[in-house]
This record gives sequence, C-alpha cells and structure tokens, in this order.
Amino acid sequence: MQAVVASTPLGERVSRLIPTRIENDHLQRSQPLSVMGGKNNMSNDVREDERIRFIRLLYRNETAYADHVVVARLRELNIKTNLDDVVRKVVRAGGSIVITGNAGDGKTHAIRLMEKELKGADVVTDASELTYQVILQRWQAAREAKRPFCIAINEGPLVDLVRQYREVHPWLEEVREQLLRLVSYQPLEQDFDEEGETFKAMADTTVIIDLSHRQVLSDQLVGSMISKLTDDTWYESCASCPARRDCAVTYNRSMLREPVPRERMIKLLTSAGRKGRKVTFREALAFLSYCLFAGKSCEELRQAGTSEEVRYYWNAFEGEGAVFELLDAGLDPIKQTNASIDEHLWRGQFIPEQFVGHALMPLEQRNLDEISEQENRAATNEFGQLKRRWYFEHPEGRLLDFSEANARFAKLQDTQTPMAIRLGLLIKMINGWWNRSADARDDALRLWTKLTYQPRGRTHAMVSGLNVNRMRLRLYRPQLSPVLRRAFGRQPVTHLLLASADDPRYARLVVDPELIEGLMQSAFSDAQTPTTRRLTQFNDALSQYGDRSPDVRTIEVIDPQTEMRAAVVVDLVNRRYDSAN
Amino acid sequence: MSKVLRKTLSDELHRRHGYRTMEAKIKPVHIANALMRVEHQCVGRMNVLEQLFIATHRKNSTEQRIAAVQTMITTQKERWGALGQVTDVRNSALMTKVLPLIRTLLGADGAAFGNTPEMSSFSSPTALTVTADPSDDGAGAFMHRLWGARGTERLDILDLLAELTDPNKKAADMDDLSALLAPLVEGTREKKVTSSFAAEDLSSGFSAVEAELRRAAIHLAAYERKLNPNPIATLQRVVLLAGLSVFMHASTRPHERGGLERRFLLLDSSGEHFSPVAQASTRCVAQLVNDASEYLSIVLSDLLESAHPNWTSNPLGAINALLEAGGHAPFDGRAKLARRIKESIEETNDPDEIRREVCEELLREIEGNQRRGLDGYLRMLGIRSGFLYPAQKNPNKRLNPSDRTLEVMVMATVDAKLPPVEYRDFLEQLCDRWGIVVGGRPGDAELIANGGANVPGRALRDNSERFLDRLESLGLARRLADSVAVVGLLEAAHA
Repeated sequence: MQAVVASTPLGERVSRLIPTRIENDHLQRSQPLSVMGGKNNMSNDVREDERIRFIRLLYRNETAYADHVVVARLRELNIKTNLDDVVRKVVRAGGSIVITGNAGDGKTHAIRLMEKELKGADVVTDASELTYQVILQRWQAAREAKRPFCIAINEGPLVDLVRQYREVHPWLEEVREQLLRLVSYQPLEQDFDEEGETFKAMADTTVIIDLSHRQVLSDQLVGSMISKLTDDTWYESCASCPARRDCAVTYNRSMLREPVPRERMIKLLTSAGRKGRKVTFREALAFLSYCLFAGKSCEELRQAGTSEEVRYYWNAFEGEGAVFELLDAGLDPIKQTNASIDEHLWRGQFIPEQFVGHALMPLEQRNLDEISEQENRAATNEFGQLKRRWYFEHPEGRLLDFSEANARFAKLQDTQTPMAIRLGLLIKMINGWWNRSADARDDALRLWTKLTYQPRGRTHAMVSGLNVNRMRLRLYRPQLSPVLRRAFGRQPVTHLLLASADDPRYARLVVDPELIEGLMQSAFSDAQTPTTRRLTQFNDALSQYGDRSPDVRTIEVIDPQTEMRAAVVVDLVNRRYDSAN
Repeated sequence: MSKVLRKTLSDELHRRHGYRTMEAKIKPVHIANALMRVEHQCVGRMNVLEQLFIATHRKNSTEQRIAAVQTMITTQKERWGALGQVTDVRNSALMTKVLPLIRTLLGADGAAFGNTPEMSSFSSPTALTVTADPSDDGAGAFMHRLWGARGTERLDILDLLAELTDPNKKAADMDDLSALLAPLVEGTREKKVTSSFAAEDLSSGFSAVEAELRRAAIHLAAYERKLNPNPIATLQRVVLLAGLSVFMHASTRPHERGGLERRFLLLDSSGEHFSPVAQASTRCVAQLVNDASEYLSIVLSDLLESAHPNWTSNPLGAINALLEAGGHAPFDGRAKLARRIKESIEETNDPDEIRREVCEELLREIEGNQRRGLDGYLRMLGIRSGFLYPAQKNPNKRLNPSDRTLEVMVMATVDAKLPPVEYRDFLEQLCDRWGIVVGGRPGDAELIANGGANVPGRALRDNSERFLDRLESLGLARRLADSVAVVGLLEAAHA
C-alpha cells in the first residue's frame, strides 16, 4: 500500500526509463568495511539540505525533469553552451526555432532558461501540454504575423504533428526535410568550419535544433557537468553537518575536482561516448549524481560511512542506466586485464602515496593471497576496488585499448598521413576480406559478383573482373548542419564513409571500428553478419564506378569451398578466351 | 491413377491461375530461365556447353571427359586461344580449373544436371544461356503476364529485365559473369512462347492481390533505376520478386478464389527457435499451408461437380466421369482407393461431409508422401525464395526472410522516388501489400490472435524493434531521435 501511495505518474515514468535496480543494502552493509573507511559513530542529527537533495535526485527522480524544477534551480544547474547564442541570433533575425530530440536531451531545460533570448517570440515551453491543433494555430499565427515562434517538442510528437498536418500546412514538410538532412558528409581532408562560425540566422526561416545530435559524452560537456555537480554552492550545508568528515560525498566530490581523477572520469565517459550510442543529458547527469551519492540519502550515507561501496570509483560502475551499460561493455577496469599491473595490485606492491586520494582515504598495502586463502570472495572484492581506484587515482591508471581496430580507425582519420596511403590501408583490408587466398592490392578495390537466384544458396563461387581505382574513392566524414555546429561545437567522429569521389549518396560504406574489426577477424561468407551486409551492399553499389575495358577483361574466378581459383582472360570483342592461369 | 488425377488437378490449376503447383520442384532459377525465355523469345545454342557438361560431369570417366575437352578444342579452336594450345589436356588449366569452375558457377542454384544442358536452368545472367527447361511449371509466363506484356500495361521492371539479360549486349556493358560465359554460347535461336498463356487469372484486369504485386514491381524497378548497382544484384532481386510474387499469388488463391479468410503472416525477428514470436509465426505459416490444402479440395470438388452434377450422391461415378472426360480409363471399383472412399462415406449422408472426406482421400492419393500439392509448393517456393525458414526438412516453417528477400520486400513496398517513409507507415504498407505483420502496430496482436496465435504484447513490440534493427543494419532504415525511424532508400547528403 505504501508503495502505491508513494507512487506518482511522474515517478512511474522515471522508473520506466531507468530499470529498477535490486536494492541490496543489507549486502552492502554486511560487507566488511574497507581498511580505509571507518564506521561512522556520529549522532543521528543529519539533515538533508534541499540543494543536496536536488543533485542526489538527478539519479532516478523528478529533479531530472526540467518541467518540475524552478527556473532559479535550473539556472544554477545550467551548463553554458552556444545554444543560447544561436537561439538569440535566430529570434533576433526574425526566424523560428524548433528545439527537438529525445526525452532527456534538455529541450525544456534550455528553453525555460532563455527568456531573454526569446523575448518577442511566441514560446511553447512544453508541447506535451498542448494539443496539436493549438500548437499549429499558434505557429501559423506567428508565421502570419511574421513573429518568431519557438517550441520545445520531442521528436516523436513533432514527426506525428508534421505527418498529420502537412497537407493542411505544406510548410511543415520543410521541417521534416530538415530533420532528415541535419547530417551531411564532406571529404575528410577538406577544411571546414567545425564551430559553425559561418552560420547566419535569417528572417522567416525555421531552424531545427535537434539536441539528439549533440554528443553529450564529449570532453567539454563532461568536464562542465563534473564541475557543475561538484561545485561548492550545492554543498554549503555540508559545512555544518556533523557527519561531514566521514561522508563519502565529501571524498567523492573532492576527488572529482582533482585534476587526475577528473581527467580519468572524462576519459572514461568520452570512451563510452565513442561507442556510438546516444546518451541524453539527463542520463549523463544521473550517472554523475550516482557517482557522488550512490543513490543514497544523507541518512543512508551516514550509515554507510566511507565504505568502498559508496565511493565514486565504485559507484561509477554500479548504477543502472544508459551510461552504466556502456561502461559495462568493456570499460570497467575490473574487466580489463593487465597482467603486470594486476599482479602488483594483488600483491600490494604499490606506493599508496602515489594515489591522489590517499591523503583523504588512506590505502592499505597487503598481499591478497593471504586473504584469499581464507576468504576468496573478500580478496576478489578488494582487488576490484583497488583496480578501479587505481584507474582514477594512480598516475599510471589508464584504460587499456587492446583494439587494433580503434588504432586503425584513428589512423584513417589522421590527415597528416596522405589520403592515398590511408585509402590504400582500407582497400587492402577490404580486398583481403573478399579473397584471402591472394595478395590483397591496395591501389584498387576489386569488385566481386556472385550469382545465385536462391538467397540462401550454399555456393560461394564468385567472379571478379572489375576494379575501382583508389583515385576514384574518397573518405568522408559526417558533419552537422551549420546551426548545429554553431550550437554544439566540435563533435567527436564516430564513423567515416568510404564512397565514390564523385557522389557518396548511395555507393557508400560506413567505416567504424566495428567494421574494421570485422575486416580483420572474418572473411567473406554468406552468414548474415553486419560486416557481410555492409560490404556486399557497397560492392554492388560501387559497380557503376568500375573500370571497364571494351576489349579485354581478366576475370578472376574463385570457389572457396573447393579452394579452386583461376584468372581467365576474355577477348570480349571476338568472344573468345585468351588465356588462364 | 494418382498420376492421372494429379495431371487433371494440375491442368485445372493451370487453367485457373496460369501455373502448375503439383510437382513442387520449383526454384527461382527456373522462374529466371523462363522469364528470360518469354521476354527474349529465344533459347541459347549450346553445342559448346554440351561438351562442357560432358567434360565436367562427375559420373563420366576421365577418358570421356578428356575426349569432350579435346572435341571442344579441335572443333572450335578460335574460341580457346592460348587455353586450347595444350599438349597435356588432362593436366591443363582448362580441364582442371576453368571448366569445373564455370560448371560450378552455372550450377550454383542446383538446377544444372547431367550431360546435357537442355533440361537445366542456369545460374546465369544472360539470355544466351536460356534453355527450354519447363521446370517453372508456367510460373515464368505467369509473371511475364502479370508484369504486363500487353502494350501500355507493361511495367518498367520487364524493360529492366530485358536490358540486364539482353543476349546482344555490347561487350563493354557486359557484367563479369556474362563476359565469362559469352564465348561458350554460339548465339540464340527463336522460341515463340507468348501465345501459351490463357489462364482465368489475369484474363480480365487484376485482382486486389495482383494489383499490389504490380505496384511492388513498379517500386522495385524505381529503386533499381535510382541505385544503379551491379546488374547481377539487380537481376537477382528482380527474379526474387518474381518468386515472391508467385508465392503471394498462390498463397492468396484460397482467399481470392476459394472464398476463405485472408491470412496474415507474422515476421519473426526474435532470432530464437522457440520464442513466442517464432512459434506464432510458425502457426501462421501452418495456417496458410492448411488453407492451400483446403483450396485444393475446393478445386477438386468443383472438378467433380462439373463432371457429375450433385456428385456427392455418387462419388465413385463422379471420379470416373472426370477420368473419362480427360480421355482416361475409369478406375477399378475394387481398388484400394475406391475401398477407402466407400468406407469413409459409409456412415454419413451429409453432402458436405462426403465432399470433405472424398476430397481429402483423393488429395492424399494425388499428393503422395512427397506432399506434391499447393501446400508443398508454397513451402518449397517460400524456402527457396528466402522467405520461409528453416530450409531443412523440418515441416514447421516460419516467416524469417533472408537479407536479400527483406531488401526486395522493403524496396518493393516503399517508393524510392519519394522521401523515406516513417517506420509505422511502412508497417502499414507492409501489411497491405504482403499481408505481413511485425508487431509494431496496435492491431497486430489481434490480427494474429484471430488466426489462433497469441503472443504477449511486449514480445511483439520487441520483435518490431529487432526488425527495425535489422533494417537499419541493411541500410534500409535510419533511427532518428525519440523512437522515430524512417525506411526507404536513404541518401548520404553530400556537403
């Protein structure tokens, strides 16, 4: 019953977005306190300040929703970006703005803080409170009055609105088209205006700002979020808290303001961001809030003291949500094996003073072999804690990137290396993937043809007589529309395109570490893998760019099943074979 | 007896629909061969290919094979260039590599047999190698008519097919496979085949299903024209659409011609054999197949009715009348079949029950253990078109299209000339055109529940999400923000 009474529609909504975590406080409390953290014996007079509570509840609660927070508080939380500047320019020029994206991207937050910038405009702060008809009436009226209009609306409802009313209001089609063209591609070696300086606001135009294209886990934004959430202004009441000295939040906050752990946290999150999955502002803030508070109230934190299970380096891998899932996929130091480091940490062969947080939370050196003989699990836990702390606080702490694919992907982007060499590297990998039995060329991409009318046919025999010269190919990189570049600044590159130098629209291959990994690890087969799908489609689409001789064609024939291969020279004019080998 | 009745039923299906379904050996390569034959009105001259067949047939002795290669070289020296200038034929590249590889390529679909190419259908992209193989059982001619070989109704997809497979293509325009095969064929000879199509279906206008299938062909042709990919990739998709169209047409005969309920298929993206979605999909396919059997019963009943009005009063007499009308001898009343029919109707006077019992008994006799009826035809064509899965002998098939099949279905559903459509609009179109549901529409659960397959709403939604993932990985869809996605021919905008 209590749960039902405590339930609110919003609370339910929050719970749906972030999977429920099985609370196991008993387990945590029952674990032995670390040697560094002492059990707290303070009085019970711990009161949670409203501001601290606000930061704490950014994880899984309503303070994460801008429409439920007073503007003053939003202003305090606000992280300054160029978005305000862009909005001001557009509105001053007499244009309209649609701020859209995922739930949690910060649309309402942004628009509620831009009163000044939006002066003179008709503003819809939260489209979900109005019917489509009302929104369109206001939008249309603003258009007719040549008055700026500004709306914050999730992308789903926006597309819905356009879909339902584009016949009545044909100008809505422009909104849809813009949505599909927010990302374009340009040659990698070409200089371009990364900061969107060339963006010019114009009267009577509608500008779409899709916040889902903002890479939240970028070094700049993550750094700003850490600074904001650890800022002293939120924790003023801690000064008078009797539990302050032994409160994990004090330690967590201090550490995340120290250059080394802060830099490591940024590195960790930007590495997660490069995995390509979109993370919203709300999810990123929730993650940092959990790092600081472990999702616990001041009273619960008082009871937990400074035990390992409430420290930031532990919390960073123990919560629930999008960021935690990304970190769980290979970025947790516990899951990264480094034989030498692991051996030293396990045996207690390190200098505790080298850890940044040692002065605040001293480390104890001990050989875990001695514990493991009696209590294996405790030793494993302690090693895990140490390894995570090592990553954040030790001068040599680092994320191990064993992936050759990442290194090769970085190399492809290195414009210091001539384009021909980078293209050659990629072409050689692709040629090798199609035909492992021959030396792969790097000066031309070989195109392959396999004909079976039965899609799941088992024959793999195929022929190749066409090449696309390296000079006819080019690497492209994605770029956001000028307005988004201006608003979001430089964004990390998660993928490139290999495409025709003339036209990358259809004959294109998305190149990212996943593809490179596939090229390195596998070879052509009929299995329906993402690598096979991408390369087969690219191979087929590229055919029109193949170099064709009208007279003679050398056709390579291979059958991977029998390992038989031949190169047959065909005289096309006389329709006869010349030779074969 | 069963052969005679099978032929009678098969002829009736051909008369009604334009293709036969009683042999259940159909493959897309047969349709490709027949489509090219009808379109170009020719077959290839294959003396050299005949020698190649002898030279590469495993059952032939080495001496026979060497002799065939020597014949090839000596009779047409100019064709072989340096390849033919060998002293040791047995160990020559021609004998050990080139000819076996070419045979492997031609037989990629498992329809190239024995010592003679005449009754084979080749995995070839050119009409130069078209044969007179009748294994398509009329499906090629049916598709040619459906796509409109009559004046202004002719669809662009046929022009595309004609261009791709043109036996007189310029050398420079040839795809690699055609270039490799060209020296093996002396040209073509005329073969008139258009006048043979005279089925009830397609005789006057198009039914709803046929109209949808024509629209599918229009959309696929537009996609191919815009994409302009490897001609063989295009040809494979065109032929696959033909195979899928025959499947859809045949599977909707129970509904459009037999008056049975329209069926919907659930596309399984769960990736698990025993998931609720996979099981429901299997059930949907089973239902479709059962309808096919029921439709054959209806056709058989109609045949008996035409041979002997009020036939349920004298089933054996009606069967004999049917046989005699086809010029066959009546069957012996003491035969096993006659005994079984007598036994099955002994205890009832209800005409409907007699109709059902007799038709089922006759179908069992006609189809035999091989299930050579419309149901077997659908299973076989569905598997070979990459539509149904698994391909093994397991009789429980589900709708799990291969990548290529999915690409054809998607691009034959959306219009590549228009901007991409939203995912939910695409799901509506997919249902309208192909009778396929994925689980992403509000009414999907009810549609499949009507057919007796119940799946939890959550499982259906997950299935739809996974389907979208798959479309995305095929480059046919793009997710925007907030659960919005678009489907279609996606362009990478060029800055």
